Amino acid sequence: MEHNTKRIAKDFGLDVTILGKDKGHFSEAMEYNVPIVVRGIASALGMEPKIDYDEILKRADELKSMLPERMPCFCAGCPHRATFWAIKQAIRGRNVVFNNDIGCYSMAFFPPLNMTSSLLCMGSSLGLSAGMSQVLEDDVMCVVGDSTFFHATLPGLVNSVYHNLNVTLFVLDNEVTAMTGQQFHPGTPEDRGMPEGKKRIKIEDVCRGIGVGHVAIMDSYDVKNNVDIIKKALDFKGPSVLISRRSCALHGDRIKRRTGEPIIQNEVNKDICKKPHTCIRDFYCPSFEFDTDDRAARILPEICDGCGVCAKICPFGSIHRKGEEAPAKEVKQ
Amino acid sequence: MSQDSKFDLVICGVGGQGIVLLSNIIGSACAKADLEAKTGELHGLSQRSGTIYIHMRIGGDNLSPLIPYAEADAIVSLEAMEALRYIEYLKDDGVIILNKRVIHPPIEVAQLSKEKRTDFITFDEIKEKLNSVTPNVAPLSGLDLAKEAGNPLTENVVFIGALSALKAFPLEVEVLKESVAESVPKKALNVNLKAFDLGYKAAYDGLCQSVECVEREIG
Ligand SMILES: Cc1ncc(C[n+]2csc(CCOP(=O)(O)OP(=O)(O)O)c2C)c(N)n1
Repeated sequence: MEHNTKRIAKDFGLDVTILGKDKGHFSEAMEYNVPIVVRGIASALGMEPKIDYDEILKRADELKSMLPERMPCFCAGCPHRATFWAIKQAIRGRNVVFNNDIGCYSMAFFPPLNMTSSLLCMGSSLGLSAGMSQVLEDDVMCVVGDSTFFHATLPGLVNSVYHNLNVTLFVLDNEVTAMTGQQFHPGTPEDRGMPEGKKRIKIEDVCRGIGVGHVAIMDSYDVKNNVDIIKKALDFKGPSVLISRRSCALHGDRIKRRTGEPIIQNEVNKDICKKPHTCIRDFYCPSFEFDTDDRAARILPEICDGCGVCAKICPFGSIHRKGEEAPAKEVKQ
Repeated sequence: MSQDSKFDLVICGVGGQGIVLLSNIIGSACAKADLEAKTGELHGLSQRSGTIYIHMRIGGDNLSPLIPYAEADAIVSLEAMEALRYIEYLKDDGVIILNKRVIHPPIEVAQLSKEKRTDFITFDEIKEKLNSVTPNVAPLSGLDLAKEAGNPLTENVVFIGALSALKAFPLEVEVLKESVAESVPKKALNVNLKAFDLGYKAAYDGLCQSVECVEREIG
């Protein structure tokens, strides 16, 4: 806007000074709020702001120093959380580079995963990985969503096949463009309420068509079995694609509400729980808390989406669907 | 009721509590009442469980939807910690309508687990901090009231009812209820109106000693 304003002023031969970001009165970065704007205007006019916003903020910061951060995290039931749990197990003991991309899965950047070597813009992860794979010894892997796959990943895939590069691409296929509000895209199954006349393009067909040597599809919630599927893809010489498929939890809930399918929450059987807190520390599902008297994990029914992945990772098999018996010990590995 | 006065409101809470819908309901009530409303939403990356806050400026001749620090007339917080997170926006002696619900973020739960501690942040600790800024804090159990009304999903509507207790809030009860009715499924209308009334009553009881409130019978 600043540059266009200057251009217009020049066209009209106006002899005015136009101040903005160019001379540093306003920052190139940041989400602006009132204090930032007031300070910018004051500095342009050579004045001091009338209100001391720093003082207000300082007082507020003291009051809230007790608060834990509320970082962005995957929703309860999010298939991405499950996929990343399996990836985390599969890469144990390996040196990996993990290039992240733009979508809900970007949150792998945050705890407890802290898994991100780079994060740039939509579709960048495969291009970067392709380059890195030619100079690094590490396993190079990257992740995109189904929407980002169609939007900006195809050239990178062609490039990886053409040069036969050792990269593993995860496509987290949750049926919709989740982060921006569950919009449809060319890979969304037709029976999800798509308008008439749209034709689904399957991600696996595209990958095989381009000539990817190793394409595998996994159910995001099948976490334990997925670990080996992931290891195999990482060992494959040449480009490999792993499609992790499960509908976005919020989108899935919407469909369930429409079809009348119930959402059955999980609960912890305190008699079995030995309180290793695996569900809490490794999983970060927002539906988990623990009781202050005995430290046994507890699932908040208002938040739990009933995906049941926590039951699969519990080392003691103490989590079960409401109204069902706890799963037998076979869950333990 | 001061129909033409201005009201700056911060609405906050945790993703999934129906906060955007809540602000839409108030916004369309403003349109019905011919009051100008400007609003700006800030929600984190996550659709659920992240922190959310919305600025809403009703009436007045504001050019910007953003409320400056220390100028909000009220904070409506659907989760207790979040009221404290945005406390810099509240004016001195402003009103806080505060849900007693404390939703512990995974990072807090995991940290306590690792350190083998059990001292979760409590509602009372939060309220004490808020009271150092303003005496006008109305705590209410949004989720319990919503359940009492017949559906836990009406938690957000409880807080619209709560706002209607404030004399300074420039929207009439009828307009607010009309707007609620247009925004919720038909079969859930009665539950929502009950949630609205329960919210009104709880806020009235919590605030009428210190703040001017609207008196009305609830059915
Ligand atoms: C070039 C560009 N266009 C649009 C956006 C907005 N945007 C953010 S995330 C996203 C898509 C995410 O969808 P997907 O990759 O399927 O991941 P999901 O959120 O479903 O996990 C879009 C379009 C952007 N960040 N950059």
